[in-house]
Amino acid sequence: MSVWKNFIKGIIKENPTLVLLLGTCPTLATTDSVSKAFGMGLAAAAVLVCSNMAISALRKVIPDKVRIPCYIVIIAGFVTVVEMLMHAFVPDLYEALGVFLSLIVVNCIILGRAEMYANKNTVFDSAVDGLGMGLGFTFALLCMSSIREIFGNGTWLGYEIPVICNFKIPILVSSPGGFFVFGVLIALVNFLTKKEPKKELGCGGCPSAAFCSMKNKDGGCAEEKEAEIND
Amino acid sequence: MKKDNLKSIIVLSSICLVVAILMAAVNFITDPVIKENDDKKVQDSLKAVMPEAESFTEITLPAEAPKTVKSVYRDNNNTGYAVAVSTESSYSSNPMTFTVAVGADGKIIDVLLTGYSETKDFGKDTYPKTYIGADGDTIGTIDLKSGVTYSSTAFRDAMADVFTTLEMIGGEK
Repeated sequence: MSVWKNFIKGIIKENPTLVLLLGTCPTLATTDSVSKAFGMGLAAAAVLVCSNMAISALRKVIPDKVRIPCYIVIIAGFVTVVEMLMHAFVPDLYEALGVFLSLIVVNCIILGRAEMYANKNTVFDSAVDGLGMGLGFTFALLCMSSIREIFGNGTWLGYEIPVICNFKIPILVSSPGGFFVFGVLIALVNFLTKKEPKKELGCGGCPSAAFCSMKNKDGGCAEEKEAEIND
Repeated sequence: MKKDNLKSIIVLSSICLVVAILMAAVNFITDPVIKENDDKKVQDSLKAVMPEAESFTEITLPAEAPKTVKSVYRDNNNTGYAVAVSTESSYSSNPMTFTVAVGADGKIIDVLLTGYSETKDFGKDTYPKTYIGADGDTIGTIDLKSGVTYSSTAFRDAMADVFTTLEMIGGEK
């Protein structure tokens, strides 16, 4: 896979939030304002890139049976570093994100990429994958938080938007609104990226046809053929 | 088998050690900045709860003072005290912090919540204000917040500690 394809897959095609449905907890919790969502996205992206690189560099050293504890220690280390830096240099954002910043340790996107990608690929490829996935996560959070803040609060990044601020839909910035916007965005991404499933009838159109043990040479079902012969 | 186990132990321990060194290095850089930010935040909160005060003098706390009370400042014009408080409400490891101003008549003048990281909000801007006008005798009668009882109980208990501390240092009742 080329470097560009490796990078771009995390933005739309394999977007961790809207396609793989990972990291749902911080997505719902931090998207009630754009600044929080942006901070969370960048923090998670930084941890993702660093942990992917570290895990990839150590992939031949870490024994298989202790790989998960090793990944968790590495990820927790980077999360703590990011947390301390944010506490010192962007204290307002640190307080706004609260407990969700620490919860990046158990974010499925980070552990998922470590297990699925970083421990099988080179340091450079893992860094590019981490960057793509991290920016994909940030992009998804930005889209969702923009919709919620603009229509729910009548503002964007705290700046009031004329006209819309007079027709706010407050439920969008609360939890049910978060679920609603999340669902709509998933549906939209599915609509834009997924092709219509084949409408062939019979064994060939079965989603499991590729690995079905009953499949015959022609692509049809062995049981179907037998039934035709008997007729 | 033994060799594998030994390798696992060595690798995991080494990773822990390297991560610990990395965190120590970052902490060395960020800790003074965090402390400076916290001090500035306390000073700003003192001004916010007692805007008429021009300067404050920090009072040394007695050894037996409640642990929730972090520092007590007296207004140099003798209009009252400002107290910085930090408490925990069982859920989050991050403490809830607030600054309260108590007037010379022993009644609460103002309260400012400076740190609250629980996921369920008890009304950061509204609940603490319900304590304005209360004193050491009436503090226990203020209602807790339904659905956020752990946080509001911690808040009320810490408020009671403020009056206990002020009594200890010979301030208002």
